[in-house]
Formats: sequence, C-alpha cells, structure tokens
Amino acid sequence: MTHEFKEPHETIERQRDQVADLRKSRNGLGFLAGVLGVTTALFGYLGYNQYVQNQAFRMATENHYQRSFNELSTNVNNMELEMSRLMASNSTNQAVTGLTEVSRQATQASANMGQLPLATLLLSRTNQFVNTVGDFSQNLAERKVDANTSLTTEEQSKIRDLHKQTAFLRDELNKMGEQLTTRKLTWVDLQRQARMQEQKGSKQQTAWYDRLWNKVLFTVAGQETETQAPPVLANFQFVETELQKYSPVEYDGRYSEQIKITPRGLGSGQITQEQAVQIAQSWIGQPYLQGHQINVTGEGKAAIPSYGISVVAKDNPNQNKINMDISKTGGHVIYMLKDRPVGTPTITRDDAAAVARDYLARRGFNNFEVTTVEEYQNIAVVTVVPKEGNVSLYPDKVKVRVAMDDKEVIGYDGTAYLTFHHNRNLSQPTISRDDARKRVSSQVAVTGDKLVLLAKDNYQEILCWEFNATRENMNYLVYINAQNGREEKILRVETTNAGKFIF
Amino acid sequence: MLARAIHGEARGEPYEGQVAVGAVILNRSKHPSFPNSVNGVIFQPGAFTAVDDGQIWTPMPEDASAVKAARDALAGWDPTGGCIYYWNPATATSQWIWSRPVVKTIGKHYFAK
Repeated sequence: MTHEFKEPHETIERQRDQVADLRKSRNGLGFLAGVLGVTTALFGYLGYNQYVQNQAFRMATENHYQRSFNELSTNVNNMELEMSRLMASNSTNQAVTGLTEVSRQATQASANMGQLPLATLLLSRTNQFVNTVGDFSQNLAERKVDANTSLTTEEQSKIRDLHKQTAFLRDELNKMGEQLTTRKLTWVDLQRQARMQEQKGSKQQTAWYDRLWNKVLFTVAGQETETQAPPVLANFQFVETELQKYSPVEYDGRYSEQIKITPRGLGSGQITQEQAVQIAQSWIGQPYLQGHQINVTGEGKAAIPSYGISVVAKDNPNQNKINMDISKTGGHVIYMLKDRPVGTPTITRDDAAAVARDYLARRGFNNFEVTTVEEYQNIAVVTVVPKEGNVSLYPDKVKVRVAMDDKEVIGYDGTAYLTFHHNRNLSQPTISRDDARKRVSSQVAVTGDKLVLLAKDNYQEILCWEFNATRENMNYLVYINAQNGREEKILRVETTNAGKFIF
Repeated sequence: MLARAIHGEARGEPYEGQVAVGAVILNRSKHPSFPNSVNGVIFQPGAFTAVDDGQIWTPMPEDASAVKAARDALAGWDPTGGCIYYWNPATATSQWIWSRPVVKTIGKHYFAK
C-alpha cells in the first residue's frame, strides 16, 4: 500500500513557498500597518491639538461669564449698601450722592446681566427691577437737588421697599455664587441647560442622539439629569417669581409702570375694512393708483389697533410695494412706507422740506412747522410739528420721507401725532422771554428763541422757551421752563452732511 | 451694527420686515427688561440666533437694504408699534415665546410685545 507521501523535496518546496508568501504578505501587512499607524498618530495629534484649542476657548468664554456674574453680584451688593446708607441719612448732599451711586451701580448691574448666557425669560423681571431702581434713584436725585431737602418720609418708605427687594436679590446672587463653587458648575454648562429647558416641549426637539449624549454627560459628570431643575437656573427662576410679587414702586419716571399711554389724537368711530381701503385710496391719490391693486394684509394690535394695507402694481407686485397701517378708530393713516431705489438727488433739503409741507397740507395738516431735515441714501426725512398758537408742539411730531431724485413722498409716520395730539389749551408763559433769556448761561451767545412744548422722558409735557445758542463752534438748544424758569434741558446740535442732528 | 444685525436676521424679508427688526432692537434698548444700549441688546447671549451662529458677520454690500432699514428705524419708523419680540413661527425653538400676545405679522415673522 503506498502512502500518499509527498516527496520530501516537494514538501520542502511547498513549505518554502508558504514561508515566502507569508513574508510577502507580512511585508504588505506591515506596510499597511505602518501607514495606518502614521495616519492614526497624525489624526491623534490633530485631534489633541483641536481639543487643547477648544479647551482654551472654552476657558476664555467661561472666564468672561464668571467675571460678568461676579461683577453683577458686586453691583447688587453695592446697591444694597448705598440704599441702607440712605436710610440713615439726613441731608440733601448725602441723599443726592447716595442716590446717584445707586443709579450708577444699577446701570452696571444691568449691563453685566446682559452678558450672562441665560434666556431672556430668566432675566427679564430681574433686569427690569434693576433698571427701575436705577431710574427711580436718578429721578429722585434730580428732584432732591432742586428741592434742597433731605429725604421725606414718603421717599424713605419707597427706598425701604426697594432696599428689601435689593437685599433679597443680593442674597440669591450670593447663594448662586456658592452653588457655582461647591458644585463646580460652569456657565458654559448652564448655558446648555438653559437652552435645553427653553426647547422642552417645543416643536423642534433636540435630536435623540443629542439628548442621549447629554444624559451620558450628566451621569458621567455627576450632575442632575434634565428632569430636575438645574441649580442657579432654578435660583434665577425663583428670583423672577418672587420679584413679581412686589407691587411696583410709584414714581414719575421713564420705567414707571403707572405710565399708560392711551392715544389721544384718534377721535372716535370705528371703521370697517372696506372703509380702510377707501381711506388708503384717497390718501395715495387717484393718478398713482392706475394699474395698482389695494389689499388688506391683516390687522395689528399695537397701541393703536389698525388694518394693514398694501398697494402693489398689478404687473410688478414684488417691487415698489407700499405698506400702510390705518387706525381702526377714526380711520387715520398711522404710517405709510414705500420701498424703492432712489437715484441721485436733484433737489435740496429745503426743497424736500417744502415738498413735505405741501404733502401734509393737501391731506388736511395745516400750520405745520419744519424742525429738522435728515438726509441719507438720497432720501430726506423731514420732521414737522403742529403749533398751538405760537407754541411748537414737539411731542406731536410727524415725519415725511421724501425721495430726493423725483420729489415723491415715500414715507409718512404719524404715530406720535396720533398718540399725543389734542387741544391742550396751553396757558400763557409766566416767565417772559427776557426773563428766561437772563437765565441762560452767559458763556453762550443766544441767536434765536421760540416757545415750544417739550416732552420729558416720562412723557410729562412742559412749556419752555427754546434758545439757540453757540459757543466756540458748538451749537446748542437751551430750554428754560416758561412757568418757573428752571433750566430743563440742554441739547447739542451737530450739523453734518446728512443734516442737523440733535443730541 | 444695527444694519449688520438686521442683515443677519432678516436678509430675505420684505423691506418692511427689515425695518421692523431694527425697530424691535431699538424698542428693547428703551425697555427696562433689556440691556440699555443697541450693542447690549444685539450681543445679549441667546437673544438673536444670527448673533449666536455668526450670521451677523456675513459680508454685507454697502447698498444692502439692511443699511437703509437701519437708518429708517433710527429715524423713528416702527411698523410694529412698539414690539419687543419677534419670531419665525416655522422655525422657533423656544416654547415660551408663543405665550407673548401677537401684535402683527410682517413677512415670515410674528411680532409681539
């Protein structure tokens, strides 16, 4: 019986071949392994580099937020401190310096708050509180300077109320500071949590893998899961709800919640949509309307409820559209805006002013005076005010936008006029022009004067003598109260290529 | 800066919508719940998506409508009547914004107080 012995010679040869094959493939493998190794090392290095850079940026952002938060804490601390000092003061000068300092710290607190990466919702009431305290203090400081007395009992009690709320805010901020350190939280994390909270239950959920990743992060980092309210965010939420429980401080200023502006110039009678269309038609005028379509675009629920109207050319509905709002009460045009490219000017600013006056006169606005003309990108915006007798009524201003290439009026804004204009039966000035003139600084040269009605920040209106004055190439408008001679305001007038600007 | 913000946020919107965005920014700067300056309002973290994702820095041609819209807003034009919030109903991610009373719609955005 013959074995199938392979010839030893063949076996050896085969074995040699196998080894040679192996070596070849091992070389191939080795080469591949080498390439892979180098590539991995390269990517590894790049990845690490990215990571290091990322960490650096993260740290810079985190430091920025930490600084803002710490500054905010300091500001609120200082506010509380100043207010407590006021509560023990008994003189005008302490009252004024203290109140001004509170106002200053409040401004900084608001600025720092605006740099924190939290949703507006978490900060709005807090920001409002800080701004109101600042405005209240500033207002009160101005009045104490005039009155030259120490704080009255009523003023003291208001300060006491505000002080209590400020102390509460300060304590909460301190608690948050502690939380940040003990739990090793970072603002960057809080930002992410805040955004997630905001998006909860909304149409666009974060992707499932994002949420899974966040869960992983949380468990690994040992923080709360997203189901519980995260610290610091919960604190801010608590502050928001607590501050809402206090009744707003009563005062006379810009942010005072007592100020409710009801439009006074609207007259009466509600109009229908069809009437709105007719009013738009007569406002724009017939020759223009040829080939144009008027549509009602919707209704607006702003302070002056309105119908929205659009006027488009039938053959070119996407260009040169006119948009208008007509008030439901009284059927007044609130504003009109036409967007079209404007070419190089062919008229001067004074011409534009005349065009504006004419436009208004033809629509029933007579006896209007031009106060300023601003020019930009070939468009002139002319501000005009009505007069009562010889008094210019600044709060009731109207703006007209004139295209300086062909004199077309492409904009009208009567919002202020419709809100504030009414028959005021103004009384005669108690201070005569000459007396008022004497109260203007002797450092300036007076070149003109007129009687005006000026509105302050809190919408309070005062009758004033307005004096044009100059000093060393700087132009001013100085306002002297016509009833008590107080120097109410000083404005600076700058004349540039674009017209006169008033600061 | 105002023009860049408008450009970033409302590039494709009708002109009225661009002026409206500018007006919202200015209204916020005057409102006690928001930072007191235009830059403060624009750069408040999380307030505008165009700021957070860098769209605000897309190159803007000199004659972009956003520049004109910014000037109009600064001159006092406010087609929104005092609104301080706006959002795109199709893409808004935050839920609470829907609780604000809508004053009007301009282009793709709702405007609210």
